[in-house]
Amino acid sequence: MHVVGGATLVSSLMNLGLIDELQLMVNPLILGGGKALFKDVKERHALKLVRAKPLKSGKVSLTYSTQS
Amino acid sequence: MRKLFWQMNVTLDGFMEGPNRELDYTAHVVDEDFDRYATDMLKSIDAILLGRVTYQLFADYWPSAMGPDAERLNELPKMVFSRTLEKVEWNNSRLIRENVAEEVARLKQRPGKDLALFGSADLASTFIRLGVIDEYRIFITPVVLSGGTPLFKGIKDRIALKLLKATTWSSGVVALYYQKT
Repeated sequence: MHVVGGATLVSSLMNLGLIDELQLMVNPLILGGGKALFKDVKERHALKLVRAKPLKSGKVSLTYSTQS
Repeated sequence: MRKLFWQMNVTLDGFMEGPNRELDYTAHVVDEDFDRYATDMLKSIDAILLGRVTYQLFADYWPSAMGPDAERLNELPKMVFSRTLEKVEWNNSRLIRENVAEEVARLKQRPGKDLALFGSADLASTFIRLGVIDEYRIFITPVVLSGGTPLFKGIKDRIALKLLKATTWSSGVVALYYQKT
């Protein structure tokens, strides 16, 4: 199942241990403030890096597995 | 003018340290890929810049550490930026208490190898505001910490960067290199 979105939803699903894989995009930007992606996550999660792929746009696509 | 780069560990959720200032997550970073990076990097610089907190961590650890990297770190000149420290005792360290912008500008204009700023997030914020950091090396550890001190806490402005390189290490760390635009 592919869930798109949503810092609140991601945090809830992580807290419930329901996420197997995370796909994130890192933008080449320091924003200086805003909403944190994992802001409502309640505990420490060790992840396993699956791949990191730099894109021409300067974004970096990161994929992590939660089965570390 | 030579380059000043800032090298920093961060968690996937953007923290440089845990809620009690703990740095145990960085144990992930050290593997043979990192060692290789560190040895090459230490050959590419001829001075280190540090804020107070990172200086104290380093000065407690490195003087009694063994190996070529420890020797290199101990012998390299270190500029320590602090208004509160009275003195610095780590070999070849110099305390800089004021005129930060002038001191850094003078260092960068002097001929030589690159300059490295390690950790030192508060000082890095000052340097970013002064526009003196040329390259960012951000090492993302594969952990969500769920709380702590944000890496870019001191930055209130939007800053666009240019991606230079993204590499991965066997530890699962992603090393991202960005250039100032």
